[in-house]
Amino acid sequence: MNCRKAQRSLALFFKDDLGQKQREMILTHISGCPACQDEIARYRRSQDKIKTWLEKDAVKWEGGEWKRILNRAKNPSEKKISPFAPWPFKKGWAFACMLLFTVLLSVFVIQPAPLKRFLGIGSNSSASLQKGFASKIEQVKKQETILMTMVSRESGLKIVWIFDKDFSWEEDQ
Amino acid sequence: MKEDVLVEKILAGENSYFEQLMKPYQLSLLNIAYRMAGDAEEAKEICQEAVLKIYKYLNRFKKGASFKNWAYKVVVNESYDFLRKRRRQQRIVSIHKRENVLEDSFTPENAYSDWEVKNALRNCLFVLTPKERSVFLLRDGEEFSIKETASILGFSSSSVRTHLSRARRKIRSQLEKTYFQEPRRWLS
Repeated sequence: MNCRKAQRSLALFFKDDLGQKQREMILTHISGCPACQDEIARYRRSQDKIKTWLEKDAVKWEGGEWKRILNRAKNPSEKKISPFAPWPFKKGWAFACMLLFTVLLSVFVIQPAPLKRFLGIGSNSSASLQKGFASKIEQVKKQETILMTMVSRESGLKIVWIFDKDFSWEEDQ
Repeated sequence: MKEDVLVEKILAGENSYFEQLMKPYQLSLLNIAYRMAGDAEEAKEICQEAVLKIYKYLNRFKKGASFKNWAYKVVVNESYDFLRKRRRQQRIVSIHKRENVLEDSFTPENAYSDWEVKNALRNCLFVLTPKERSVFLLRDGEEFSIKETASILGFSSSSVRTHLSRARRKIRSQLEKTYFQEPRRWLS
């Protein structure tokens, strides 16, 4: 066996993950090959480093998380405990908050007419506003002619348009 | 009490034994999910789903088989599903979240080294594909044999060997490229 062939299997050889026959072939080769021995040492070194890191960087269950999960498994009716959903953001609470927000929005911002009548909010102002509109409409109905005047700043020329009800017009300069 | 007996009791309705059955694996299952997902909160979510499945499908557990292997199988499969879902949603662990990890652990003196280890490990493991990662973690992290790893993952032994060899080579080259050549970045 040459180095090139041996090095293909060294990643498995150093942790005894090869079959018996292949293992023996590599053993014979590496006994006289310092390059392959160095390769094995490098694999071992990286393996040791990773092992140390794996031991160092481990996570643990906090508080009663593990117990809650087991209880949930035993009682599937229990709601899912998601780490992304602390209590204020659970569905029920979210729905209640949304409902409250909608009610407040409709009372204070949109103010629908039936609600306003019910609560007696702004009834006077709307009545006076309605009256004002009605009188304006009456005025327009009574009016026979409409005058429109345009004065030129440079020449002082004045143009007056007089419209009758049907918007036919006379010009007077 | 043997695991087989515990399983039988749970299946007979005495579900208080479930805690006893799961207790030896509560940390190892969480950690394998953590290494697969790369995030502690996501690992907890994966574990939660896996525990629910273990309880739900306990009747499918074959008598005489290793419960540990079976539990690992469920967690690894759940991790695969999670990673697939994450890839589909293109949900990436946000930088903001990583910053929080740093801020949370920055008080003690060794906090920086812990954070660096976390990042270094993540950099090495996320060079691997999910399959390579699971093979590497089970064989080299949890010290399962090739045969056990194959049975947990549902691969053939030769496929496990191929993935393992590739994973070890990738990790070694990543380590040598990033951490072993510059003395300043050497982590003790």
